[in-house]
Amino acid sequence: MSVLSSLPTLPAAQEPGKTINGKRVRVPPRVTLGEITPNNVGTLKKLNLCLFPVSYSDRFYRDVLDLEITPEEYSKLVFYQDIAVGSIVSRLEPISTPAPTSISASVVPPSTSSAPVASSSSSTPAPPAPNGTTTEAHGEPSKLYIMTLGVLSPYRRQGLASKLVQHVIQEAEASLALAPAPVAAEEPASKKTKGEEKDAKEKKKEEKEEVSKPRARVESLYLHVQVSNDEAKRFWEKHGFEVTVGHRSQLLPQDRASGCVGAREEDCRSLGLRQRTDDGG
Amino acid sequence: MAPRKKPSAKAPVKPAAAAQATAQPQPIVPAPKGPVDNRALPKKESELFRQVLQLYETKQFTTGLKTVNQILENFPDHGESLAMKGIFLSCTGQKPLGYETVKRGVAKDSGSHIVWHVYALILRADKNFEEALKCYKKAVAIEPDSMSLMNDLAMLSVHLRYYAEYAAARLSILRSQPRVRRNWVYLAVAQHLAGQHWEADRTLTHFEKMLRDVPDREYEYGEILMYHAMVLEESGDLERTLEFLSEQSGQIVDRTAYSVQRAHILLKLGRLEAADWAWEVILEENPDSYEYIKASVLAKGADCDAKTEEGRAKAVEILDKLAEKYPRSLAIRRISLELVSGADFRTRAFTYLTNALSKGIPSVFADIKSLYTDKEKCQIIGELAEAFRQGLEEKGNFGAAEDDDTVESSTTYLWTLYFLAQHHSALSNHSAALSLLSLASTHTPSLPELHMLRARVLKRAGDEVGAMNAMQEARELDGQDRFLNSKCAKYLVRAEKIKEAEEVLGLFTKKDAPSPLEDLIDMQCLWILEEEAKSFIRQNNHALALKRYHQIFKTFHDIEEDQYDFHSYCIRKGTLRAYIQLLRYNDTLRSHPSYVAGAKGAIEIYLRLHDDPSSIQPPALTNGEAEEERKRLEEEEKRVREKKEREEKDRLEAERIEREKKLSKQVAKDKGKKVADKKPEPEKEVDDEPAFDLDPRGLQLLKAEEPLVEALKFLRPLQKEAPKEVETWFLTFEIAMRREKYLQALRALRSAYALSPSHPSLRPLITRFAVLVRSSSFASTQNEFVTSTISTELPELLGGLELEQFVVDGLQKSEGAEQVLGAARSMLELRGKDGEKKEVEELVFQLLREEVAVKVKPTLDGLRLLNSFSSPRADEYRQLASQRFPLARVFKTAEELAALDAKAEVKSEDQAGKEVVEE
Repeated sequence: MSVLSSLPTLPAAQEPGKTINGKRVRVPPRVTLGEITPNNVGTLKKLNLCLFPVSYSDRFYRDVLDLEITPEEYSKLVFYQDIAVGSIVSRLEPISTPAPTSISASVVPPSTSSAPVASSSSSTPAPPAPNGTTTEAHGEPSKLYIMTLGVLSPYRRQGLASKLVQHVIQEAEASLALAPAPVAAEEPASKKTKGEEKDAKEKKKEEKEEVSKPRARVESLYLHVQVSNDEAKRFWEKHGFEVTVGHRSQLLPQDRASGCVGAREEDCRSLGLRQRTDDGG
Repeated sequence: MAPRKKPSAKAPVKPAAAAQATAQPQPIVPAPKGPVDNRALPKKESELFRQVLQLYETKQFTTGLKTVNQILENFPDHGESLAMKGIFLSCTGQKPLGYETVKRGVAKDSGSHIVWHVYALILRADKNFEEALKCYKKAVAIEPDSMSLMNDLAMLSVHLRYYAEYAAARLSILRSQPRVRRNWVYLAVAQHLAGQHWEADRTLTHFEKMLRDVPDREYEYGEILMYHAMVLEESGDLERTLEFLSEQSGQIVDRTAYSVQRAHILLKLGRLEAADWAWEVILEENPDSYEYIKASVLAKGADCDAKTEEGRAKAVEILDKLAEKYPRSLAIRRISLELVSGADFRTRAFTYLTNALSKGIPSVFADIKSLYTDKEKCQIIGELAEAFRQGLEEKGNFGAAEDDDTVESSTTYLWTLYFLAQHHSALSNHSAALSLLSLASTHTPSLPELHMLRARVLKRAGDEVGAMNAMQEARELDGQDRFLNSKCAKYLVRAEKIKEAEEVLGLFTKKDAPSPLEDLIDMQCLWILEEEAKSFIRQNNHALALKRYHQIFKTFHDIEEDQYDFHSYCIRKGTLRAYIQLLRYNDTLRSHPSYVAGAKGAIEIYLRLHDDPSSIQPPALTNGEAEEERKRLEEEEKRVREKKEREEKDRLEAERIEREKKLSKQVAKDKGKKVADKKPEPEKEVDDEPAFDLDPRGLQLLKAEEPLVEALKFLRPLQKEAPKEVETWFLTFEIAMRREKYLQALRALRSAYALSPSHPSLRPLITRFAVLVRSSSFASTQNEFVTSTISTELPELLGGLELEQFVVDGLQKSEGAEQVLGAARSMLELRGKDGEKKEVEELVFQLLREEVAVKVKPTLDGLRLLNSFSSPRADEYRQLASQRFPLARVFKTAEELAALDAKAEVKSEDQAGKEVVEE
C-alpha cells in the first residue's frame, strides 16, 4: 500500500483541497491541523490501523502523548471538513544519541552551501531571535525523526500531506530562530499563502508560550522510506529532503520505516532521507 | 430550569416567619376574645417567652428548648410554650415527639395564632403543604392583621393552585400595604391566574400610573408592560391589546417579543396588510424560523398547512418569492418540500440534498425524515441518493450536467453513503444499511457518526451486543464528546452491562460524587434511570427496577417542589411572563415522557406483585452483595440505637438540670443564662447527618404490602397532569379492574376511546371488560347502579356490535403489526384461560407474513403472547422470527448465542493478531 501522498505536479505551497487529481473542487473544503490529545488519540489509532500494514503497540501511543518525546508542534492530525483524515507523528531525539548505528555511519554530513532540494529556490534570512533569548541557550541540539506520515486514500493528491510536512518544517525552523545561533541560519523560503500566514501566526503564538521553557533546537529532520517507493521519494525530495543512503532493513530491526514499508523481508531496502534545517549545524 | 435551589429542610423557618413571630406583641395582654384563658404569663415568664421566640429566630434550638422548659415548669399547660417546645424538638431531630407536643399545645390553646403558626411551620418544613395551608387559615382567622402570616398563606395557596384564595389574600395584603409596589404586581398575577383578566388589567393600569419617573427603556418596567399585554391578549380583547402595545411601545425593551406578539395579533384580527408588513420585518431578523415563515405566508393570504392542491400551490408560490429574497434560508426551502410533489419535488429535493451533502450537514436525514410518510417522496429521495452515489463514484460529482468537470470534495461521497445508509435503515433494510456503512468505513474510518449509525442499525436489527461494540468504537474516536459518552453508556445498559456503563459515565460526572449514578440522579438525569430500570427488568431484578422507577418519581417530585421558591423570586425579579409559563408547565409536568414511562414500568411491576407475588422473586445476592447488605443493616441498627441512647441521655440531662433548678432556682437560672451567653452561635442540628439510603437495592420496595396502593401513588399524578396520554387510562383501567372499581374502569376505557379510538391496546381491554360484565356472577355481586350504567355505556365502546362480532371485526380491520397483535390479544381475552387458542396462534403468526412491515419489538411481543399461554407453537414462531431477523439476539437460543459470542471473540482476536510493532 502506498501511504505517502506525493504530488509531483502540485506546487509545494498550494492551498490544500483546491483540486483533486487536477480537477477543480466545486466547494473547496476547509483543511486545518489539530493537536493529538488523550481524547482523540483513538482517532489516530483508527487512522493508523487503516493506513499502515502493521499495528503499533500501546507504547507508541503513550509516546505520542508524551510531550517530551513527541512535542505537540511536530505531531498533528489533519482535518478535512472537520474530519480527521491523516496525521504526522515525529519524535525528538538528542543529536548526541546515536541514530541507528548503521545509519549514522552512513549518513553523509550535510554540505554547508547547498540549500535543501526543491523547496528553497530562494533563501531568506531567518527572523531575528527575540531579545533576551539570545543569551540563554535554548534546549539541546536535537534532530527530529518523522515516524509516520499518512493520509487516507480518498483524500490524497489534494496537498494534505504537504501541509503536514510543511508545518513540521516550519516549526523546526522556528525552533532554530529562537536559538542562539551564531550565524544567521539560511532558511528555505516560505511562500506567503494564506494558509501559511496562518501557520506563521500559530507559530508566533507558540513561540510566545515557549519562551519560558527551553525548546529543543531541531537541527535536522530525517526519516525512512522504502527503497522501491519512488513516489514517496519524490515527495520528500520536493520538500527539501535528500537521499542520504540506502541500507538494508535489518539495520532497523524494529521496523522504523513502517510509515513507508510494507514488508520486512530481508531484501527490503530503506532510504535514509535527511533535511538540513541549519547550515551552521 | 432556573437555579436548582433546594428548599432546605434544615431551616424550616423562613427568616420572615421568624421575624413575624418575634414581632408579635407578647400575649401579656389576654386576647380580647374568648374566655379568660391561661395564655397570659407573669412578667418573668413572658420575658422568657420573648427570649424563646428570639432563640428560635436565631436557630438556637437546644438553648431555646431549655428556656421554654423553664416556663413549662411553672405553667405546664401554657399552649404557646408547648408549641414552641414542639418545634424545638422537631428541629433537633425528635420529630414524632415534636409533632405530639405541638398538637398538645394546639389543644391547650386553640385560640392562639402562635400555636397554629407553629403547627403550620413544622408541617410546611415537612412539605405537607395542604395541611400547613389549613393551619395558616386558622392562624389568619385569629390574627387577620399579620402581614407575614398572610404572605405565607398566599404562597401556599398559589403553590397548591387555589387561585381564588390567592387573589383574595393578595388583595387584603395590598389593602394594608398599598405603598409596597410589589404587592400590586402580586395582586395582578393572582387575579390573572384566577382568571379575573379584567381585574388584573385594572390593577396593572393603576400600578403603571402610580409609577412616576420611570427611566427610559428600563427593563423591569418593560417586562411589566409585556406582561400586561399578555393578560390583555388572554382576556380575548385583541383590539385593546394592540392599542396597548402601540401606546406603550416606547417603553418596551424586549423588542422581539413585542413585534412577534403584535404581528400575531394582527394576523388573528385578519388585518393582513399590516400583518404582512409586520412579519416581513420579523422575518428579516431570522429567516430560518418556521414560526415566522409560516406566519408570513398566512399574512400573504396563503397557508402552509393547506389541504387543497390550489392552496398548496399558492403557498409554494409565496415561499419561492421568500426564498429568492432570503437565499440562505434553508427553512423556507424545507417547508416547500412538504407542499410539492412529483417532478417538482424531485427538482427541489435534488437542490436541497446536494447542498446539504456537499456542505456535510450530518443531520440532513433527520431533517427530511418526516417526508417519508409520503411513499412517493420516500422513493424519490432514495432514487436521488442512489444517483448521487453513482455520480460521485464515476465522475466525482452529483452527475447533474454532462459537461460539468468540477468535482465534489472527498467528504461529499462519505456523507452521501451515510445518508443512503440512514435511508435504508429507516425502511428496515438493515443489511443494505450495514453494507453501505462498511463501505463508508473503508473510505473514512475516523468519522464517529458512521460507527454511531452502525450501532443504531444493529440495535434496530436486534443485535444489542454488536450495537454496544459499535458505539464503543465511536466513543473511542472522541473522548471529550459528552453526547457520544452518554450514547455509549446507554448502549452498554441495553446490553445489560450496567457496571461498565456507569464507569463510562463517570468520565463526565463530578469526581467527588459518591458514584457517577448518584451524581446523575442529583442532576435530575432521567434517561439513565429509565434505561437501567428496563435493563433490570430484563435481568429479572425487579427490586432494583422498582428502585429506579421510584427515583424517577422522586425527581419529578423535586421539580414540582422546587417551584415553591419561584412564587416570590419571579415577582421580585420581574420575570412575570416566564413565571406564568413555569406554573403552566408544572401543571402538566407529569406528562413528560420519562414520567409516563416510569409510572408505567412501576405500575406494571406492582400489578404483577398483586396478581402473582411468587412470579417476582427478590434477586439473589452474590456473596459480596449479601455481605454488604448485612453490614448496611447492622449499621442502620447501630445508628438507630445510638440515636435512642443519645435521646435518652439528653432527656436525663434535661431532667437533671430541672432537678438542680428546683433546688436553687435562682442559681440555675443564672447558669442557664450564662450558658446561653457563652454559646451565641447556632447549635449543631442533629438532622445534619447525611441522607442515608436505607434501601439501595430496592428490596424493601419489593415487599410492599399493598402493591395496588403503591401503584396508585404513581397513577394519581398521571391522571391529574397527563390526562391526554392514552397510556394513563390504560393503567387506570388495569388498577381499577383489580380493585373491582368497575365504574372507574369503564370511565378509563371511555377516556382512552375518546383520545384514540383505534389504539391497538384498547380493543383487548374492552374485550376483557365486556367478558367480565357478561359473566353470570357479575350482575349478582354488583349493585344496580353499576350494572345499569355499564349496560348503557358499554355498547358505544363495542361500536354497537355484539362482543364476538366486535372481536372478529378487530381481526378484519387489523393492518400493521401493532393492530394484528391487538387483535390477537383481544381474541385471547375472549377465549379466556382455558379456551381454544388456535385462532390466537394463527393471528400471532400473521405478524411474520412477508407483507406485514414488522419490527423486532412487536415480533418479540408476539412471542411473549404465545409463551403466556404456553403455546406449543412458540418455538416454531421463534425460529421463523429468527429467520426474519437474523441479527436479533432475542430470537436465538442460549446455545446459538454462546456460539455467536465465541465467534465474535475469535474475530476480535484475529484483528488484534495483526503484527504489533514495538516502537
